[in-house]
Amino acid sequence: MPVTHLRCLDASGALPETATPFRLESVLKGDVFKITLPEGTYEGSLTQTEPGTGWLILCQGEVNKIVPFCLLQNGDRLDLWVDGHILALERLSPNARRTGASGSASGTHSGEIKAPLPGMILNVLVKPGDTVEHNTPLVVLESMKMETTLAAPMAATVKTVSASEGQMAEKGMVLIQLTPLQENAPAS
Amino acid sequence: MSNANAASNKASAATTSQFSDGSPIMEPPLFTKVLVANRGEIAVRIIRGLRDMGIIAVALASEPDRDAEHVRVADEVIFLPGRSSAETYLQGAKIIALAKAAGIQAIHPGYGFLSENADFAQACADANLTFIGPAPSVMREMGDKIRAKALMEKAGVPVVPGWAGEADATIAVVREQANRIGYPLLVKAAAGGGGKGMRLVHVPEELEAAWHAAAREAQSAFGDARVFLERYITRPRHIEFQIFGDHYGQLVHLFERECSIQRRHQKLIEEAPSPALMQNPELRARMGEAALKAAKAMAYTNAGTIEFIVDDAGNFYFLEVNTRLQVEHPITEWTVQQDLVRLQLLIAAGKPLPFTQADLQQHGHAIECRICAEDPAHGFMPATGRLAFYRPPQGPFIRVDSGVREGSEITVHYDPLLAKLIVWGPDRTAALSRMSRALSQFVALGMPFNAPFLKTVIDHPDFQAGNTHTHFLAEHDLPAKAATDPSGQATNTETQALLVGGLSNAITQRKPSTATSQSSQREEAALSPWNTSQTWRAGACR
Repeated sequence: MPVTHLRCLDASGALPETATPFRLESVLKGDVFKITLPEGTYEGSLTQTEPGTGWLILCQGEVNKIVPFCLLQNGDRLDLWVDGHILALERLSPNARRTGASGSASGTHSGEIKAPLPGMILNVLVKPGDTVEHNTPLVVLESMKMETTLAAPMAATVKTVSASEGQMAEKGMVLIQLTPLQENAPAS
Repeated sequence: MSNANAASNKASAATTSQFSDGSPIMEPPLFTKVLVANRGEIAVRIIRGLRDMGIIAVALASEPDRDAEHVRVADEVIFLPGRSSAETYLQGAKIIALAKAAGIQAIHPGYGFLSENADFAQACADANLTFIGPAPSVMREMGDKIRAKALMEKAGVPVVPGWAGEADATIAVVREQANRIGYPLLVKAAAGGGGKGMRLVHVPEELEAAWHAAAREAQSAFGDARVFLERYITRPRHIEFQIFGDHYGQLVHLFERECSIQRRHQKLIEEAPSPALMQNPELRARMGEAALKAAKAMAYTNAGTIEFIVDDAGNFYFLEVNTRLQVEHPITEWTVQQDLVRLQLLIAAGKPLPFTQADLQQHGHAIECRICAEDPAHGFMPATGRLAFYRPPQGPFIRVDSGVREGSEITVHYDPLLAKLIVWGPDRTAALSRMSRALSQFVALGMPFNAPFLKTVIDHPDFQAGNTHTHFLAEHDLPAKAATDPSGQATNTETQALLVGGLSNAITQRKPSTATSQSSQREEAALSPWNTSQTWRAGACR
């Protein structure tokens, strides 16, 4: 993903050094702020029509650019719609609460394959002890009149299989536990 | 109020009109009250059409759908106990009994659910209810792909070369037939649909396993293990013709729709006319003729669709008949300027088609995008949740058929189609440009949705050039390419993310002190990502 991390800005507009060529010079407490984008520096002002939605006006000389937005925060997740683009952001703090946290507190990637949405388990394609490659299909789930195949996020061995064919799975239910073959698995 | 409207409408509908020689015809009256046995955007669309005609529109609602958009727009509602489709919208006998009790004269089944269920259509007829669709016998015959194909072949409609299969055929016979057809080929289920019971066979060694696997899958999915062989057409376009027939033997086609952009064997983007046929009107004429031949062979009544696939060389082959109103019918409505639901109602009420083939022509270009609660970046996985923000685009020649509104819950019980976005333009270029703008202004938040992805497809140079086929997304590695491309689109997204970083901070600073209590404000501020120096990561897991 191109946006690997996003540092939130405090009132001073401080942005840590990143690989990105963009810099927010200052965010003022008020209507006007300054933003530097690849194409130049803008003065911005904000119009908020209701909580979470509105538009920015970015001014450069006589040009006033309009950027509509909507944002929705839900726990550790932030969904942004900005001018036709969608971004889903997730809190990266190590202390951050995991959504739907269960008792498992092991490491960055637990190797748990969870049902991403409620549905019926159509097929279980692996058994404990199997070795799977990255992207090997593990389970087929039927939900919303569609079949969804859950694949291994990394090369791993199958530790446990708690899913059985024909069973209804709740969202977030652990279906399969994997043990990654190499350390240093990517964070979730 | 609607009652009064409907009554007066009925009175006027029963008046006489004249033949060209001046002699009067007693026209049959229209229905006064019609049940829409469906949900979501298609129920909304049909209900609007009924009310436009002064007919009382009755909605059907399962328990999760009590507050759904299709209930809000109807005149009356029938509540069904239960949550799943099987407990509710598929309960044909229960629906018929409730419809009779409510004084309903006709049932429009929409698409999906009971729409292609010949037994349900027959049960309606037996209960003296008009089923708005073709005759049950036609539905039954077309539901069987082997029989449908045989009928079309006999009628002189080109079909994909293949073999119909035989009960208890030995694998030696299957192999012989496969060699005659040539590889690659498909093993398909007679009762199939949506890719189930279908296997692609590249080489003879794969044939036996594929034949048995398809039969097993067909047996478990449809209770019918019959399978057949068909030559595999590589990179085909999916082009279909809308047909209509009345009860007086009049048959017309309303030209084509191209639906080549698909994922999971389901259509995602449709357009009319087809870019391929725009360059080849002679092929359109031949396909239209074949569609009418097919309609005649079935003695078709009401609305239907003849689906064809077209190969690189411009050969076309019959695929199947859909005996219902299609999801993508609005692009035909726009290009031929007809309300297809209205036509269905007129025909079902026994009226003649109000035009002939010669009266019809295509005007301009229409495109439809299916706006779904799904995540293109994760295998188009459908998503559930509450639609916290929902702002469809507006403007000239933009039509949005929504089944939801802001605040709607998208549940696991039904499909993830939120809305259809349809635009029209005087030519394809204008329509594409308008669709791109409309998609960029479509806001839905609360779950993943596919409008930004659809825009990448619409803006893709090969789509713009009309070089479409059913493997378009896979061949162009969409959406993976958009997600990993380090330049272009992605950089733009990054810019936007930083922009939002700045503006959200400003929002938090400016939060008005009205309406919220001090404590809840403090709580919100504590939760706000912008008041902390924590790091956030894009592409959150769902």
